[in-house]
Amino acid sequence: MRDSQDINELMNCYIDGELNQRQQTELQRLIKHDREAARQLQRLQKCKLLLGAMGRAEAPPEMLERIKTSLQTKQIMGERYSGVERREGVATLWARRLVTTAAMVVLLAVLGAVVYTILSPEDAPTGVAVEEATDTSPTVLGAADPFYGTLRLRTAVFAAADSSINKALADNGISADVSQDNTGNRTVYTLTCTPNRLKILLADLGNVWGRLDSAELVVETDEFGRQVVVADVLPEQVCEIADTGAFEARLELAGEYAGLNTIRRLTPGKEVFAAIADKPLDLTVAPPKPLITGGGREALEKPPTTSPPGQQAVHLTIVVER
Amino acid sequence: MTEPASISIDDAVLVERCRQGDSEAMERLILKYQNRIYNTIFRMCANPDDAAELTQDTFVKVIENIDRFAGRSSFYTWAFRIAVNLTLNYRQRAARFAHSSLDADEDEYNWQTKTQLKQYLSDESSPDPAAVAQNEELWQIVTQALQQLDDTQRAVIVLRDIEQMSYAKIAKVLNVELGTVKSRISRARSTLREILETMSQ
Repeated sequence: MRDSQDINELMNCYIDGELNQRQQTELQRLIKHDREAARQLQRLQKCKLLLGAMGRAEAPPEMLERIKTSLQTKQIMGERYSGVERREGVATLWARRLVTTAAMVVLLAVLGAVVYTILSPEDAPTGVAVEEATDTSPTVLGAADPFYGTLRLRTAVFAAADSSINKALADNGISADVSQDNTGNRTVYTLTCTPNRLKILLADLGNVWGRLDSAELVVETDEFGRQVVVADVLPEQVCEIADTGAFEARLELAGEYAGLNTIRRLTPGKEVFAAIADKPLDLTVAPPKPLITGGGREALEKPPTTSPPGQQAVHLTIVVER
Repeated sequence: MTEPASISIDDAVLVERCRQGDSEAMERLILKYQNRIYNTIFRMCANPDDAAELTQDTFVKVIENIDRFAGRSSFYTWAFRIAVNLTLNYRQRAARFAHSSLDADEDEYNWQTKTQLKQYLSDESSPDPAAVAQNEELWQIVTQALQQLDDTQRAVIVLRDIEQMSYAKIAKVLNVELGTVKSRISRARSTLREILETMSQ
């Protein structure tokens, strides 16, 4: 059996011109005296010739332009959206705010009811809850400002998390400056990419999220010191915040998520949040894998035929600590 | 110690100019290799739209990472390595979401084409692929047969028989040992032959 495999390999090497002179002579001698070997050689040769005779498919004529557009899109990240896209962005943001506000109202109402059943009616803080819920009036989406932020991840399994991040960056072709402290307990990645790339990266980090002790996103602006911290941040929240085009809108969304996450953390009955968020009950015990919004995983798997003309740059610093 | 310069002069000059931000050099590199890379990807995935997207992604990745290209292999080998890896990864992911519809077409080829293929494959006929080269439907059968190979076997056979790469280059592109290339080609051709014989029935 082994011999026939070796001879088969030898025959393939022969027809591919990969044998040395001595091996060629040996094989030629074999096929001269063995009709079955000669037939086998001819069969392989026909197979090779058939494939070799296939016509060459040519790249679409617009390929060069597509590549240039895609490269330009990455280079000019941070440019403003075109009018149509800005309007679409506004619509998306309004819809998102509406859903978030509705969720907040329902959440706070349920929370109020829970508190009401525990405490006396006089002590129920319903006024505050309503005020907070109605204070989330949407703002008009501005231009596509670059995103600046720091994602601080703490984990007991530092080495595994660090290695997963490294791999995810490499797999997605995202270049990052990496610095590590002397103790080997802290790595800082500084990267720049598009929001779409960030989505793919975070989707790939889904397994890491489940092993984190804490995840905190600091959303910054172009003004020094003006920032919002989102504790217990989820990957999809990071994506949505980074994907939001203007500083103001981004800060507002981050503030909403910060509040939502605080409520989620403090709510005694996790089922309240689960019911509103339509997520499994063990959400806070084991944070879910990233659910990417705006197209889903399948859309991420298959890159778009044409890239969008302009997307804000995402400047993200990922700090992984033990 | 400096690395041996195995990069061809033309490509080396273009790569260097491209690194310095020369867009004309970048365009020349793309135009020089786009058809070969597209053809290879297309033969591996059999879908023109996917092949176009993967070709685009390949060049974007090539240009983005051109500073990392050290010239230890030829630019051509490096670019092909990126293209093949992207395609293999894409197919692996796509396989989780979709089932190929190629099987459904198997019985739709007309008997004349099947007879022509059968005659070509028979031991009595001489190996003259030019005689069958005109039959477009035959190429569809061959393309379909290629898709029935597993991804790693298809990659070696496409790089060898369609892209005409040497075994040594294939080993570099796929980052495998030379012996692995030999055994994969051997298995791939035998399997392909069997698939074609079945399809010609």
